[in-house]
Amino acid sequence: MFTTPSDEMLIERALDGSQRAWVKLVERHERLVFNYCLRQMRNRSDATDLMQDVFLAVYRHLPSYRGEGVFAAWLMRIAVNKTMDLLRTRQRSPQVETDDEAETAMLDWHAPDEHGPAFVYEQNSNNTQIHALLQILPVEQRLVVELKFFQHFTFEQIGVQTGVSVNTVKSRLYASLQKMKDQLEANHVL
Amino acid sequence: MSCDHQLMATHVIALLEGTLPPVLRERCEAVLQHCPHCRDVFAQAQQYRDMATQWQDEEVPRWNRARHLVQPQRRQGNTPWLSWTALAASLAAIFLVVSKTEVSTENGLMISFGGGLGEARVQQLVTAAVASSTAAQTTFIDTRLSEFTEQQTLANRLLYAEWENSTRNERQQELGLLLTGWQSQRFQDQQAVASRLNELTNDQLENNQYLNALMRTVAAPGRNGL
Repeated sequence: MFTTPSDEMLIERALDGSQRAWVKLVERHERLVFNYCLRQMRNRSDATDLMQDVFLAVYRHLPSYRGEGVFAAWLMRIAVNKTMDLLRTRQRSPQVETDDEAETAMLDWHAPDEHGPAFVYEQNSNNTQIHALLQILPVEQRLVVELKFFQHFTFEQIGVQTGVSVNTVKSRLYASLQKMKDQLEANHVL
Repeated sequence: MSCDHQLMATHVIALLEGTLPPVLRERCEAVLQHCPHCRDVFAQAQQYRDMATQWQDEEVPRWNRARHLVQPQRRQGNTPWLSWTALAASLAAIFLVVSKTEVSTENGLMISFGGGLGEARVQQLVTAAVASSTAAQTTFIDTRLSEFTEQQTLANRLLYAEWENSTRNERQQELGLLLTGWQSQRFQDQQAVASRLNELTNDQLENNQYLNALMRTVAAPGRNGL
């Protein structure tokens, strides 16, 4: 009977030059990466660019993947590194953005979907609110929240992924909770 | 009841995930009852958890997943060796060989096609080139060896001078320490001798006084007519 090939099998085939295996591997994990990128970036276009950068980096580093651990965790480690690199670069050279561009970016975030309008509205409503809340946080804190609550990694795994100690991870998470709490209080006062 | 929020800062996620030991859980719950700040933080953590469950995965936009793969090699023609460039190069080479062309430069480089040079001439040129190269290499090696020897000699002298200086300083320090110790010991010994002499003198004086007193006591009854 036909069985679904494992990630490792697809990687082996991709390393042997099979384009089909690589595409299959990407299709298997692109949803995870894309939605991660959506939560990290300001708009859908940036998220798509980041996702492509992540898979490009994965493809380049595929020969160094030794098969230890879960492939998705390795993939997410690369995604985290690419995100931090990109966002730090942008922090160093911030782009001037007009109000119109910001509005366009938010509108762009509402993606067209093949489902019905009601589904799209509900999905966008939830996701937009979550996205707006996450964007309040600094990059490092947003990454920790993402890895802890959306990816369900342990503190030790997050420490490995982000290259900091467990205590630093906990501190960043607690700081994000305080920041979010302060923000909600400010909104409540206003 | 004051709260430094440290307990919740450390264990808020474990409390949320229900993985805290009972004792710690009870302490955290007590803190939550009394500290509004910690209560808000915990509520925010719960909101994060809810947020993650409310997120609805979105469809990935269409993109070329194999765009960044290594491009396949260009399809080659049926007879790639028969390109015009290769054919022209081959014909030129054949012409040079047949016509026994010789090319020479001012630097002594000579290229001969088709055996234009005789065996003896080639041998002579090779011998001359080898001899010249050997002489140049020998000179170069001698020069470098001489330089290296001088450098090494100088380095050895410096090293020896440094070692000598260092050793002298160490010896001086050791001798100074020894002398200081000896003087200190001598002073202590002199003190001890002086102290002992003083004690002996005192003892002698006491003995003399005692003997004088005893003699006076013995002499006293005689004077009283005994």
